[in-house]
Amino acid sequence: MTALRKLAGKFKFHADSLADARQAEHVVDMAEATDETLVARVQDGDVDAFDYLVERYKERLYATVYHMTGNHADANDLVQDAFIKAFTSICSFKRESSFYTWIYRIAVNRTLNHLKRGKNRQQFSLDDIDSHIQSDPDFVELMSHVTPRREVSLNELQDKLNAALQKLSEHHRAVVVMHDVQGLTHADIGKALHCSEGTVRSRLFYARQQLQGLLADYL
Amino acid sequence: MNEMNCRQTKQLLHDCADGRLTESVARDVQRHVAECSDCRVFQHRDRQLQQLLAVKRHETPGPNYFNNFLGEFHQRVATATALRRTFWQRLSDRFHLDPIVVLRSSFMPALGAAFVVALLLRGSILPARVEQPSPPSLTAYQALSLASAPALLAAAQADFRTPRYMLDRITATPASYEVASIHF
Repeated sequence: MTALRKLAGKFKFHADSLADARQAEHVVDMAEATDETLVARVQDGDVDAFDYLVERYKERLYATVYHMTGNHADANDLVQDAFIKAFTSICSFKRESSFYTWIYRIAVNRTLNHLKRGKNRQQFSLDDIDSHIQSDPDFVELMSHVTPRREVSLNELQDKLNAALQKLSEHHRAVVVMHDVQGLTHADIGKALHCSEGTVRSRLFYARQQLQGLLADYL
Repeated sequence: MNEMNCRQTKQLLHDCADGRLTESVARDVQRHVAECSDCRVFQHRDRQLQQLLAVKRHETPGPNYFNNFLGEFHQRVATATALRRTFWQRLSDRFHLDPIVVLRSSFMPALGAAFVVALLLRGSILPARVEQPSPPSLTAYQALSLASAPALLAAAQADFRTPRYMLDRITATPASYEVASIHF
């Protein structure tokens, strides 16, 4: 009887480890799956697959929305809203564009609407610059110039920059963030904002001119 | 160089730096910048602005900021889904009722109860049904109209009298008062 129990326990152990292995394999598969595969799975009813899409894009979307709004609380709410909107209407997603383009558009449109309504909380977090900035060649070159910048602290510089960005209109701020901060192409920005490349270029030009004027003491 | 060319040059500076212009256009831009001090200052400031904007790339919300992001997402989805549920769905959730199980277990008793209630209502509450005389058939109507037709005709003839006023008979040649006056 004891031997039988031991045998049953051994089988159970093997079954458990097999289930765990399968589970781990499933997680790896899902983590490595393409966006198209994950979207297809969600559309077929496997809602857990959406978690992998959230994990994949949350930080990139967050960065865009944060630079547009200027504070973490609004950025968090708007990105969460964008993911919920995408999740609830994923059945209507026809896969004509990539999932990222689609959700990026949702997030940007929601952010622009939020900014137009004037509900922005206008609180900047000045203590969240990562340590990699010290090795960024752009930043090193910026601080090496013989200008009043040498005397200003990084936080003050960040404060002035954020204040100048907030003075731009929503659409001008959006193109500056997307192009100059995030490095998107004019075509991608046009798709996200539903406007032509020419409009994007024009907005970018005026926004840069305005920023040059606002940050004249630091340039 | 005129103002228009300065404006065009300023707009093309970024594309020139990114190598997106054709060789001839890029050469024109570079030549203009070399000759125009205003555009040179603009180019220098623009470059510094780009370096300043690089600071934004390093703004991060903190190392543990996204730890609960997925959990919060699930919570918000549950709230959004709950708000969309109907009153009956929320009621069944509140009392942990599975609609299919409830339907299976209570369908027959509910049907029986409804039948009994219907019987009771019919017997006690509703008034007794009163027999209404049925309307005569079509053939009876036809028989009645055929039988009374001569009497109705006679009555109509009796009612017909000579009218009190009658118009003069219209003659073939109407009287002309103008012609008559000529004869007088």
